[in-house]
Amino acid sequence: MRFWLTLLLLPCLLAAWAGSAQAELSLSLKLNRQEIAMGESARLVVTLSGTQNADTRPSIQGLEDFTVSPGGTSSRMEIINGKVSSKLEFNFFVQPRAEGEYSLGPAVIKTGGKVYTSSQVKLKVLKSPAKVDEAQGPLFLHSSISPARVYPEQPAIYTLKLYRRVQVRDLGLQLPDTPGLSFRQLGEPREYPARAGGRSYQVLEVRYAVLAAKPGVYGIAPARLKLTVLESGGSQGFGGFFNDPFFSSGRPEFLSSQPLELEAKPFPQENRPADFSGLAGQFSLEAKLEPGKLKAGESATLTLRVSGQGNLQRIPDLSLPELPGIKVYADQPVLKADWDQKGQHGKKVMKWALVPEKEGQYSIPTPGLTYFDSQSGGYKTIAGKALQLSALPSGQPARVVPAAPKAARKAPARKQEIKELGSDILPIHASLRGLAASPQAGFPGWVHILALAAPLLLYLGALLFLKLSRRSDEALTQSRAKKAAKLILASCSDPELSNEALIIGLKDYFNHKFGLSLGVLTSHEAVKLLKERGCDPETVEAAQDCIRGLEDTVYCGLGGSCTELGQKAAKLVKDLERQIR
Amino acid sequence: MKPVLLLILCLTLLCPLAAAAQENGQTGAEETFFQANQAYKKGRFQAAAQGYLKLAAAGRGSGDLYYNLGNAYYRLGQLGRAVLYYERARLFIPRDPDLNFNLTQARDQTKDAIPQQTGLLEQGLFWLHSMNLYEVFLGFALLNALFFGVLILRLFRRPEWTWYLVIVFGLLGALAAGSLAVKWHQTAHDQRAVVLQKELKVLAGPDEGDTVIFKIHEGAIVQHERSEGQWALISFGPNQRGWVKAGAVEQIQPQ
Repeated sequence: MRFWLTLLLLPCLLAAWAGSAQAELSLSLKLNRQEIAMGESARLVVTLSGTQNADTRPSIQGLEDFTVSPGGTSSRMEIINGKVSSKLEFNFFVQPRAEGEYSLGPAVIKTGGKVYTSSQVKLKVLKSPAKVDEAQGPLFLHSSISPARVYPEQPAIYTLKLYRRVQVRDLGLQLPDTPGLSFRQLGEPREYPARAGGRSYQVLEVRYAVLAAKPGVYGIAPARLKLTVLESGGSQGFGGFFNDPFFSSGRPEFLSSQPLELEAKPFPQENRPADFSGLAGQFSLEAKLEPGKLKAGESATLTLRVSGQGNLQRIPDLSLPELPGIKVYADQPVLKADWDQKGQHGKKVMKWALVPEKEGQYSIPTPGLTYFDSQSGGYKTIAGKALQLSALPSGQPARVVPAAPKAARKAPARKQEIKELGSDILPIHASLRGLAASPQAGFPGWVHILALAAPLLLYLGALLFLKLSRRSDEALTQSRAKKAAKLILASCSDPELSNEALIIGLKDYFNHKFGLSLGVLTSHEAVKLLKERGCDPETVEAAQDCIRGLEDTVYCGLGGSCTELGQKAAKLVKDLERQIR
Repeated sequence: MKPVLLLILCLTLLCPLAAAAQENGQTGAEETFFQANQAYKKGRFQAAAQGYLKLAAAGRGSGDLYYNLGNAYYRLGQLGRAVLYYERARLFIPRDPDLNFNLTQARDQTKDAIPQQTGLLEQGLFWLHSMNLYEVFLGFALLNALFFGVLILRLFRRPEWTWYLVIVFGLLGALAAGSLAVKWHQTAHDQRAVVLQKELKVLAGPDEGDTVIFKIHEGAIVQHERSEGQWALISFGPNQRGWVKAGAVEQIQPQ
């Protein structure tokens, strides 16, 4: 049941997605090149976003002077993070019939009962840079340079085009090696269809910026291209299947372009400014001082930004004139440069921290910039301007801005980074503590060794004390036992000794000998004790007899004579002294 | 009886004299220190450096004194000596923020990029970099005392928690002992030396006519391997060794 429900719901969900995607349709028009030469073509793409279907094909205005070839239609749908997007692309190749500047578009498409219109795009059609030889075969390499006359370090665009009517692979290009000229590739190679000598070709184009370091006439040798031309090895009867490069064999071929010439003219001497640094191109200069009002002793930042197109590395490090009453700390200039199809462009940013020493109104003159305008062929100077800086007294509190009501308060201002205005070392340590002898001075001494050894010695001392005290306890017990043995042996030899005294003497002897505190010694206890201490069975039996005899005599009035029992007790004590140490 | 009385009399007289001499020495050192500080504050850095050097030569070398000496040489534009005395001060007061700031400032101005070689052991015992030898010793002595203290306690009473304390203090004590051994080795075999000349030619052998194989600059820290007469063999990288005049470099660890 659940499976069928899912199967029913899935198309509904997809339809809903498609519906939501279709709800935001838009039409755009794009060209892959903004400049082409006569005989070349550009790719024009009309994109209808938000759907994969359209009721009609787009109509594009402004294509009267172009030959239009369809380049196919493609549609795609993407789901990214649950968001569905779809688009439909119509491709066209447009080839101009005349030179000029054209506005193509807008494109118009009708779908879902609505009409969608795109914006326009501009295309500049230049005359063919050099006439391509009509006698050229199905594969040739063509080179051109524009402009052919430049100033030192002004880029000329060197264009290499591979015209082909056959399939090729393994391309290896060897650029001309001309001393004094440097080549820099501009962007990725482009591929497009074009006509030359009345025939259609597929063109692979790659562009380089060529820079001449010094004035002079430079001959640019032919560029050489090594490639493999694929030759179809299959029968035409298989509908071109065997035209696939996979099934084709190749033959190596070397192509050469035509030699060219580039003239680098010297910068004119006439009206040449004294501070000209060799900077050529088109540039602009922007100056900014922030904040314009501050307290004396605080710092403001003066920023000069030179931006434009040309040999940016020649932008000089501008310097500020002497500013009386203001301390100036220059920051390291930052140069950002990039290359595009027209050459090098970018900017150089120079910053200074200005710290007014006293209150007052200061006029900060900013430096100007001189460069050679390669378009107009003359020198240009962008004059600096004077920026105003007001410094309030340092003690005077800054203008107090009354706090806005909580509801009207904006987000907290972005914190600015702490700027380092200078660098210096920290002061000396003047405290007399610095003169005190370092604890490391006499290290290691006896005190330190003792400090390490003391805990170990203490531990060993405690261990020794415990051992000795235990040993003295045992020694005391033994000496007492010896005394008790002597005492009872002396008593046994006494003819007037009573049996009561004898049994008490034996009890004391056992107590001292074995560290006991018995009040009465029974034969049973004595046997158990002696067995535990490992006495031989005869001695145990003798002890049992002796003590039992004494018990019988003392407590029951039976038994042997006192002398006999005394002798037995004396023998027993002697045996025990011998056996138990 | 008389000689004994005479001896007692002499001792009675000499003891206050010795104490007074010590006090005078202390007062003299304080006076020199104060005057050197004043000279520094008034911009007479050469006089300040001489004062501090006098104290160091009299055995008063301490972290603060070497730090001040580094400052004086920095102000005199002698970057090599500034780095030398800052590094020497680090042996005593490695965590002093003023010292570390000034040392960074001085190092930033040196020309040569000589990589600092740190062994795996030193990387593991990373705390040694911020402690002087005496501090490492104190740490070990404390843990040693605690370990044996608990062992002594266990001779008389044996509650279970004392067993865990023995384990903890034992492990920490072993770590501290290892740290002390490594620090001791580092200190005893510290061969780092600072280049004192603006530009120093490193020669292939201990002779003026030998080939110049490198040039290093003031403030660079090198390893002083050994000396032969007026020449010292230094190294500053895995395969960069050579001979320089002995006075052109000075070892950070006072000899």
